[in-house]
This record gives sequence, C-alpha cells and structure tokens, in this order.
Amino acid sequence: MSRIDLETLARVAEGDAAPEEIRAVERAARSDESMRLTLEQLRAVLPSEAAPELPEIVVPETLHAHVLERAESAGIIARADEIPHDLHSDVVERLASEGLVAAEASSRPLRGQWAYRVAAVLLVGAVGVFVGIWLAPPRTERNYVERDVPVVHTRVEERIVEKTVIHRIPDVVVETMVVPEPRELVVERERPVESIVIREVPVEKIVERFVPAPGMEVVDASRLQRWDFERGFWAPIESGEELAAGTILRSRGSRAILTAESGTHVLGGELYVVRDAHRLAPVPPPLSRALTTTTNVGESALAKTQVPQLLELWSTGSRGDRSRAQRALETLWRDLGDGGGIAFLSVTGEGRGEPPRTLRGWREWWERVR
Amino acid sequence: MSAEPEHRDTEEPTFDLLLRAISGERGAVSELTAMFLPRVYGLCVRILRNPALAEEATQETFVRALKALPRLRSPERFTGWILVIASNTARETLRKEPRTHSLESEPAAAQSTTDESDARKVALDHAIGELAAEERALFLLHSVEGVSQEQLAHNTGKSVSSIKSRLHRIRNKVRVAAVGFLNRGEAGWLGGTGEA
Repeated sequence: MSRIDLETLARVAEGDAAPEEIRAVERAARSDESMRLTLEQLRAVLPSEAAPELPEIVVPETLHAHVLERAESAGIIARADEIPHDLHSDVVERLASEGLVAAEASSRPLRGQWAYRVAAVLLVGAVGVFVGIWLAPPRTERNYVERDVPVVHTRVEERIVEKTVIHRIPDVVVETMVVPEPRELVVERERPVESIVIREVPVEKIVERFVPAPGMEVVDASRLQRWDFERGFWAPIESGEELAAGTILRSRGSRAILTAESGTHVLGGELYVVRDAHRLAPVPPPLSRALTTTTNVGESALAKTQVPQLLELWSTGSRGDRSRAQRALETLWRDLGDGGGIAFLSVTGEGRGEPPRTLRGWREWWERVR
Repeated sequence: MSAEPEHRDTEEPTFDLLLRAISGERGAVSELTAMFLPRVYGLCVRILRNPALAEEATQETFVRALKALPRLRSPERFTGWILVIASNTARETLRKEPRTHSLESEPAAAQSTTDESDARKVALDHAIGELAAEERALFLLHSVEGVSQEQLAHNTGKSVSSIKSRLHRIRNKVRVAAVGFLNRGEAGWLGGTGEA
C-alpha cells in the first residue's frame, strides 16, 4: 500500500472524501484487518468532532511575574511599589463613606471662610440694586399680551446668499516643451482660369518667291546668235539688247566676244546659256547637239531627224532640258502637223488642238508623222 | 465534510475587566494575564518547540495585546484575538531564530509511554512538529485553540473557503504523520515503509 492510499484513508477519516471513495475504503477495510486498524488509528489520533489531545504543557511559575514586569517596563501598568496619585483621595472618600470623617469639612477649613466673605459681598450688592430700582423715576408701562396670530399669507422670498468657497489651487505643473522653429512652407496651387481673351495676333508668313535673275545687257555681240524659242531659229543679237537668263548663245565662228555691261566674255564654238547678268555657262551636250543642227534665220526649222534626240532629251534631261525639248518639239509639231486623221485641219492649222504635253504623247505623235 | 471540533470552554474576559486593564489597573492586568497565560504559552511552545523562546514570545504577546487593547473592536472575541497575536509573535520569533527549531524540537515527544492515549498525544505532537511553521500555527489556532475559520480568514486576509480547504489538507497531513509515528518499527498495515 502506498502513501497515496494512506492519504486517501486520512481523507476518509476526516470525512473529506467522496462518497464512492468512502464506500470503496470501507469495503476494503472489511476484508483487510490492518487497513481497518489504520483507519481507526487515523480517526482516533485526530478526531474530527473534538479537539485533539496533546501533551500537557506546564507554564513556568515565574512567567506570570515576568509578564507583569514587562508590562511595567512598557509603561502599561504602574510599578507595584509606587503609590498611586489618587490613592489619598480614594482613602478619604472611603473613610467618609464609612462615617469616620466628616465629608469636605475636615479637609477644607479655609475654603469656608472665603465662602462667607463672597456671600456677604453678593448680599450687599443685591440690596444696592434693589434700592436703586425703587428710587428710579416711573416709566411708561407696557403690557405685552401674548395671543395667537393666524398666518394671513406666506411670502416667498428669494435671497442671494454669498458663500465663500475655498478652491484649492492644484499644483502647477511646469512642463518645458521644445518648439521647433517655424519654417516657410510653399504650397503650389494651380490658379483657376478667370476669363478667356481672344486677341488677333498678326503673323508674318515668309513666302519664298523665285525672282528671275537679271538679264545680261549687251554692249557688243556682233559675232553671236541667240536661240529664238518663239520662232525656233538662231537670231542675231543687237546692241543694247538684254539677254534674259536662260538665253542660249552660239558664236558664228569658232570664237566670239560678248561685251556686256557686267564685263567681257570670250565664247568658244559650243553653246552657252546666260545664267544671270554676269555669268555664262556651257550648254549640256545632248541639248547642244540638238540645237547645233538647227538652221539659222531664213533656214528651215528643226530637222525631222532631230525628233528622236529631242524625245531622248525630253525623257532623260532635267526640267530645263525637258522644257526646251518641249518647245522644239512644239515647233516641229507646228511644222509637220499632228498627223491625225483630219488632213485639212492639219494644213490650215485650225482645229489642230494642243500639242502633246507628255513623252507618251510625243512618241505617239512621232509614230504618226515620221 | 466534518463538523467543527468542540474545544475547551473559552472563558471570555468581562467587559469591566478589559476596561480596568485598559486604564492600567495592575490587578486587572494581572487577572487577565493569569487567565490567558496557559493558552498563550502553550500555543507559543507548540509553534516554537522551544520553552525559552516561548516564554519570551509570551511576554511579548501580552505587551502587544495590552497596548492594542484600546483598539479592540469586539471584546467578545478577545480570546481569538490574543491567540492570533501570540501566533504571529511566535512566528516572528521563529523567523529571527530559525535554527532553534531544529536544535530543540519535540519537547514532549521525547517521553516514552505505554499508555495508548499518551502515545497518540505524543504522536500528534510529533506530527504537528513536522508541519511548516505557518501550517502549524494555522492548525493549532483552529483545531486546538478553536479560533473560528472566519476570524482566521479575517486575520490572514484570505477567503473562508481557502482557509477551510487548507485546514483539511493540514489535518490529513497531521493524521498521516501521527499514524506513521505510531506504527514505526511495526510490520502492520503500513508494511514498515518507514513513514515516520
């Protein structure tokens, strides 16, 4: 049996165990004699219904006296050999109560003499007051009659009562706070549109316009010819004539001199074109070949055999070459006719229509007239 | 649950006796001291397990009680009041002199006796000596001196139910220790397990 079981028995002996636990222990105790004896011992050694019995303790004989001495030293009671301060009065009272001494008289002889003197003074004073009242002049007599007066009405009155209240001022708490220095804070906001103003603003537009270059004013060009695009032949140049830019020149011989206002130019056997008032430039070879085969004034117009070169110039040349080939072909077109179906109109020149403007048109024309 | 154990008749001092003791009357103080000296001294001896220290604790108990007597609110509970003072004083003495208990323990258990009743008393005294000081004081105040659980709860600042359950545990412990002391050396039901 373990100690836990012994504690269970102790709980049963105390009556502190559960009912089923008590029943189980009692069943076991009926079959186990030693357990029953132990249970009885547990109940007997500390009964739950009575105070336990303990060995008697003998109080030391001197302890009571020592306690009183401690009480004396602590000032709780007076020492045994001291005379109490009121012992004398208590003894006199006791003697008086026994009739052995007269109360008050024996102990206080001097007090009686002083009492007689005070009484005599009071008596003289009282006689004086009485005489004074008797000799005083008569006064108006007032009779006060006490009677019950009914309450007629009750007046309610409010009064302001000032009450002094003492307020306790709480302790002032001083707290030091570090305040940061103010800083400038910039807040950006969009300004709202208040009104819309429409104003006309003059705008200068630069327009590029090509101005024809100034022509070359001729002073002397007796051995030179210029190509007349309108009539389609080489025309002589007269003094004082102004050669516009783009005019094609040629010399009658292998060499010629052009004297102009801007200066003197020496020309070779090839064609030249007037660039501006000061400059001359050789004509490109294709056009040069076409133009060198033309006749002078009085000679027949452009040769029919030159048409293929003109068509080639038209197709491969620059813009200027194309315009020159166009003018040469138009001259041939007027000379040779259109080659269309109406021969009469082609002869008379009426109803001929307009010359071709495209390379295809010129090729078709050439197929008709060659 | 067990009923409250019956204790010896507690003779509470009269109100007049207490008043005279408060006024410092020597006779009243002497009478009051003589009336409660056996119980106060017995409690101190059983807590301290040392007669000399118990005498000192007894004197200190009465001095404290007489000084505090004007502040006693319930004169009819004087007995419990002065016994609680004695218990506290004895425990204070024990804290100041912790070795004394182990050196001079069991003042009554040293006696050998053949009487069964005396043997139970000795065993019970031994078992009480085995308890911790606080448990010993609680057991003696309630189970031996009859101080009510309510008054103990009031003085210790604990609930009555807490005091009650604690007292049950202490009583069971005392029973087990006492029976173990009684059966030591015997091959009885305990089986000679050396419980003591």
